[in-house]
Amino acid sequence: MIPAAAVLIALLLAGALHLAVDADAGAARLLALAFGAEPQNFAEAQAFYAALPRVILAMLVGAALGTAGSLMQQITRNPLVSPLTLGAASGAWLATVIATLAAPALLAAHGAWVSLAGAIIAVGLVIAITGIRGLVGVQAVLAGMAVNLLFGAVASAVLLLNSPYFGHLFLWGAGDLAQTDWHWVAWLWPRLLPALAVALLAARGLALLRLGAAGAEGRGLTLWPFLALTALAALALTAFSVTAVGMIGFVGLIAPNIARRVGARLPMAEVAASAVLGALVLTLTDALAVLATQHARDLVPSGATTALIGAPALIWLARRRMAAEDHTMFRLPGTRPRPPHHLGLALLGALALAAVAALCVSPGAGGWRIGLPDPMIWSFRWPRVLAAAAAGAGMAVSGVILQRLIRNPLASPDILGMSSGASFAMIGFTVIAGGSIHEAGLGLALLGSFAVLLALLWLGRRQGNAPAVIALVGISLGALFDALVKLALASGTDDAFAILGWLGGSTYRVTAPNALILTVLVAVLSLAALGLGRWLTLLAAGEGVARGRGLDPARANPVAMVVAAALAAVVTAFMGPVSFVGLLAPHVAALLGARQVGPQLGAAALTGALLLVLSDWAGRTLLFPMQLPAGTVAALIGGFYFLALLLRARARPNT
Amino acid sequence: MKRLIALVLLCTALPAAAEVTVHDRRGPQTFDAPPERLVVLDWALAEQVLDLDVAPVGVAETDNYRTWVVHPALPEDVVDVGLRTEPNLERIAQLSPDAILTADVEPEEFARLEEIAPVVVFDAWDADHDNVAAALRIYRELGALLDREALAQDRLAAQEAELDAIAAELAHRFGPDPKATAIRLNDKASAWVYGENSVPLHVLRRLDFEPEIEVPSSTWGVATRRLEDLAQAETGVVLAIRPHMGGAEAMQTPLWDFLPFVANGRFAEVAPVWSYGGALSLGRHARAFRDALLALE
Repeated sequence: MIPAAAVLIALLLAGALHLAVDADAGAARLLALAFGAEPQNFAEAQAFYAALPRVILAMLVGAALGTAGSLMQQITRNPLVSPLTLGAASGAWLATVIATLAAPALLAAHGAWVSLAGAIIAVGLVIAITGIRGLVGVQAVLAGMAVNLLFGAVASAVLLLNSPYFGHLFLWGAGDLAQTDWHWVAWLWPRLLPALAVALLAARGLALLRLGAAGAEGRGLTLWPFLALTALAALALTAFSVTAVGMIGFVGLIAPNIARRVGARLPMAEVAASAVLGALVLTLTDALAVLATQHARDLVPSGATTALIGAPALIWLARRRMAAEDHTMFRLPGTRPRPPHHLGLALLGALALAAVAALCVSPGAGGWRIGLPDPMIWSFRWPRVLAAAAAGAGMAVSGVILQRLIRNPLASPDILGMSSGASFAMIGFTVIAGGSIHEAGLGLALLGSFAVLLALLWLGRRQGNAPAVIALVGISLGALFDALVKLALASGTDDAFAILGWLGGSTYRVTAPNALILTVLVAVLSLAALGLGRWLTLLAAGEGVARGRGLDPARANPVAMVVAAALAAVVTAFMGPVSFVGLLAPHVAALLGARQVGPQLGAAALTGALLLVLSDWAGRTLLFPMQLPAGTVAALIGGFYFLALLLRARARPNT
Repeated sequence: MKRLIALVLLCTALPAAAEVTVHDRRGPQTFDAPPERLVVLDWALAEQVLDLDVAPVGVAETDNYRTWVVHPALPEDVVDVGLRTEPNLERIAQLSPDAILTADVEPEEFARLEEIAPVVVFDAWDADHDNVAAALRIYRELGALLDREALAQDRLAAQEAELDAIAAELAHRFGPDPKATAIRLNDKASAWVYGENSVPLHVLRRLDFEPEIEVPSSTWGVATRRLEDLAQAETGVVLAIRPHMGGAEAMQTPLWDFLPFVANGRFAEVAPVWSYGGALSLGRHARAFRDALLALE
């Protein structure tokens, strides 16, 4: 075990390094200022009002997030949960975005509580999805990512419709620690104290909890009040940090993992070590942000460097730690034993009906109009409807493949980072080459998607394809991509809004030839997936079963994943990232009774197409003449439907 | 020479409706008559059209235009055609425009707009060209398109004269080699700084002021910086364009009072001007800057 003194000295050194990078006033004057000397010139004022509060805030926020992560990981016994991965941070962020628009006075007066309410709602949703017991497994993280995607979609819809008002929210959303006074330090530390006190008091309970729930209760722990109070403390630490500095990810996830790695075994030691290590990590990554800001054209937000360092660190941790296969399985209850007659026909009919509505019903100057559009309007509409249908089908098929391969029903191309890989390549192109996001093409998207795939396969091979590893790598890559988006958006110019619109997944820019190309590619890849049907059945049953039937998973897995990644890349290239369809459509198909691979692929494709056609129609017409991207609407509809489904299933557990 | 050609063209075309030619991204585009029903998808172009005393029938994001661009005022009956990034093609088609004016669109979008009505598309904002020179050229071209070349020339000439007058007025007050930097406050700890290839910096140079904070050229010519980095403006004036929105909080911080330009009383607030505007926004910037600069002690 590394002695506590060494960690504290490392933290002090990191603080000194941070100040050396950020302040010009000199060590002696800095000390004098810290002990009450009045600043005499700008360099001293900068040291006292900008550099010093910044490094202290970095330590406070790092310690708060580290503590929050440690508490969450100890009460769930899951090394993957954190403020970021459970959706708490994005809940706090979305609540603040909405309050900025709807109730600025409330936000100014009670920002901390608005943000805490958001965090509680987000984590509440995750728990509603996975159940309390589910929090121990990798699906807690997948559910957290689903909530992140949903809340992200709501936030970007709000931002898109109110464009120039939100320039500063981009920067705050990226998470930046730059300070100009002691306000946030003075605001934050008294609010952190009660939560930190709870964390310290929780040590005994956490120790009992390691005996298991029954054992802990046997030793006199009143389980639920204890868990609720500890979770509330963790969420408060998260929410107050988000209120003060915006979204800073990864610290809460990494710090407890490092703490255990360096030998902090007892609950108390783990919480304390996580706090100090969280402070250390954030101080160092923020020093990097300061350094980058001094040399870059635009300000580099702290949240970007944290994610750039944190995502690879997470992958590294995953490689070493996650070898054990995650056995916790999660099923959606309430599926029919077999598909109703004519399910395919019924879905096809519904899709046709939706397509006709999307083509023929629209608002105009004098109210809604129903009827065949004139040839010009027709030429605008059909490529969008066709592209939406193809993209929805493609993401759904990709989702079916991944859910069977990963053997986890919360897997999907968006959550596993395949869409992110394509988006990463395309946004990276705009950041580096300075071009428009709409100029980046299919080749780049494929490149990004397959890079993710190779990383997944390489890491998977070392780990025997453990689903948890694949999920983790996907999440890390998604977060890495997020860091790049933050960099791109922090400029706050009109280009940022173009990127935001593209991130929504829009059919607006799909031309007639591109719609046809997309349809053909999706059709070919879907047929390939259908051809892999037997493999998918065997792989879903487990690698042992597959081997027993003469199928080598080491060969079959990569082939199936290539198809899934190609589908995600093709859709992302033409429309931008489309989330939730790949997650939701396979479930709806299974819910309708299509449980064999073939019927599920077909039913999911039709459902995905239906969802995206309806979303595109709604996005085009409901706010006319404004338009919301189809992907954003699909995430809203799909996200809420998914939550409703899970909540209902949970309310009636035995159906 | 151009005027002469225009005059000759005007005379030869007098009996019929005046045929007009405009040079856009693709080269000369000819209309049988000046288009009357215009849909404008870019705010800078909307400004330019209004600055030729023509009211478009449709403009993108009209509400946001009225909040952020403000001048020249958009008439009440102008129809909103949706987002600037994704204008609503169906709404545009319903307006049956004679021409659609837009800037910096990709070829695919352009092709679809072309199905609705003839499109005039300019390259307005680009890191690799001079944005202001482009705006001046676009204004003259729009003058040609709307058969108001003389008006465009008059207004540009008047603007040049006014810029000279304002420069002289300020030179009298600020002496040789004055320095000024244009910014917008973003929030408590950050600001946008206008640099190379931006309208505010161009205007300041035109008024013989040099910036103190270096921002390399880019598409929009603007960069986000930390509030403390504004201290690079050591001796000159800093001009903050309103509305400050959340940025107003920056002025309440203790660091603010130590910034050299605040400590020396060289900070001034500028009345709202749209910093990504058209040719005549040079004059609007210059007037706003002059008023702010002359109000300094």
